[in-house]
Amino acid sequence: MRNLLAANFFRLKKSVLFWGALAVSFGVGLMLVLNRLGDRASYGASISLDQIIFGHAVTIGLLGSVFVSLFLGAEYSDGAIRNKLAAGHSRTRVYLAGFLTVAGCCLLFCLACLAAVLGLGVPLIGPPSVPPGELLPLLAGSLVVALSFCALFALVALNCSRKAVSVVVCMLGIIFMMSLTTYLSARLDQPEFRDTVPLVVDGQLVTGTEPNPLYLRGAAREVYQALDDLLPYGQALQYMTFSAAHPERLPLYSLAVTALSTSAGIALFRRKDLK
Amino acid sequence: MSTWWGVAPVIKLLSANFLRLRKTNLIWGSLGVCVGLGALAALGEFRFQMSTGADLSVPEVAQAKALLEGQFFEYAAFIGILAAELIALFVGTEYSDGAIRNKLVVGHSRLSIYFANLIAGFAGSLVCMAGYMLSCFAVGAPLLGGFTKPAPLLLSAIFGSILMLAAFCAIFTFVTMNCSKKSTSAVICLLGSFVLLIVAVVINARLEAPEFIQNYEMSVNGQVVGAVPEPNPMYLRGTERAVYQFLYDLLPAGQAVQYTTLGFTDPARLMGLSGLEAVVFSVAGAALFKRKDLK
Repeated sequence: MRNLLAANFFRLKKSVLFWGALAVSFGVGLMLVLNRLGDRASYGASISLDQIIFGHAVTIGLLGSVFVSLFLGAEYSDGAIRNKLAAGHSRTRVYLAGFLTVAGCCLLFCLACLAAVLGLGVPLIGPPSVPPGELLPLLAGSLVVALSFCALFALVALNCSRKAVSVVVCMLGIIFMMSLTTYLSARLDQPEFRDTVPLVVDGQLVTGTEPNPLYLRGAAREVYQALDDLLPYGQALQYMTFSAAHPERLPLYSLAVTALSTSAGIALFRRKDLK
Repeated sequence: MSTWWGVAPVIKLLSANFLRLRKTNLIWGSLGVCVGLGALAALGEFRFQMSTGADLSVPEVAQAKALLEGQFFEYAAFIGILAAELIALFVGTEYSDGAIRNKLVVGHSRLSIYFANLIAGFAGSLVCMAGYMLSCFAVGAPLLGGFTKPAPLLLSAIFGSILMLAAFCAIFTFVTMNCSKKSTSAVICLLGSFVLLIVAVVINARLEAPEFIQNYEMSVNGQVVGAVPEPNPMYLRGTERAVYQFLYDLLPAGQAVQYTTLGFTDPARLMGLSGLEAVVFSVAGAALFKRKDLK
């Protein structure tokens, strides 16, 4: 296992993809800060570091889908997987080494983005308003989300012999997950009551409230909330907007997704015909 | 006669491409997704209207809301991403299977190969788009009522979105035919189409910002009263607005947002820009492909 990891990290050191993704991640962090500063300069928007400090959690989904599928896909296209098996390594170890390598990389990408946000943001925008005691557990939780993204992408990339197909599946998967969770949070964020159209009564505007038909109730609300908590991108959005109802539960969900996808991935990979 | 000799090889290549297209799971899978999404969009809207208590059995109620249009044109939002996937995988396979080299060896010109692939990719994407439209109409018309917007508007949205799709296909073929690695071209096409869609949504949000903000204030007796409208600092003015509008019209993803919402004001301008993009990217792509080292 140690040999496999050492080989993977050696390949990483020479990988343009890895350094490119690291640079992109750092660049995204800088752009988030510059974008907020631009909004303040253009139209006096009220800005704070809290709005962007979890930018890495939202970015890592798309960046991870590209990186993991290309990096692990190259194991197939270069014949490296067959070589590793021929050298006597078990399939489980090959899978775990691949997963741990990309998981380490994705954590690095997150840290690079965070470093850029804090490095440029703290001097120019100011420190986050959330106390460190509350912020640090949330930041740790957001890094666990990166693990669950990686576990899902590794499941696809290590069980699909065609690199281009795994790229497409991972990317379309994350785009679909983004659309789904955006829809879920839009429905969950609906207010229970909404304002009626203002009416002019005796020369004055009068407003009232009415039940909002879009507000989810009962079992439907629970199902939507469970899906939003379980999907990694749903968690990322909740961290980004500080809207998690039970933030202490989210890392547990992430770990469950990671464990389940890794177990399923190993089981499939062990049966896979590698030709 | 010389024209025929130029076209005949393209027809042969096209028939080979269409045969391959028919036999690939990629097109059937993509078509299935589009047909499913079209039916789901109509059914989802119907269920939502039922949950709000709307009486859609009254034709006037259904027609006043223009519900079918709201779902029918949603294909424009995702057809770019679908075309990116379809073209990157379908055309990219030409490289990975060595089909391009085989075609060149049997005497086909690079231009014929390029345009045959462009047409096949466009046709495949168009079939998927038609699949969405037909299923959405077939499920939506009985449930949500027919179209209520004027026919010229609907027709220009349909023709305009076909041209928009042509622009998307020309861009993706440009990338795929000039990049030997299928996975790299898949990343560029998918990431490009998704990022452009996000850019278009951001531009749309800036252009849609109202010029004035109506503030409401609570008066002493607890009633809400209207205050004097204030200029919106987010409202774009002058050159900045013109640049945003031009980009919104130029980017195929920007056009996609406009067709989805039926929020376009100058369809001829959008069609002209799409057509121009399709031609520019096809010519540039073919010129680059002619010089490409295929090893």
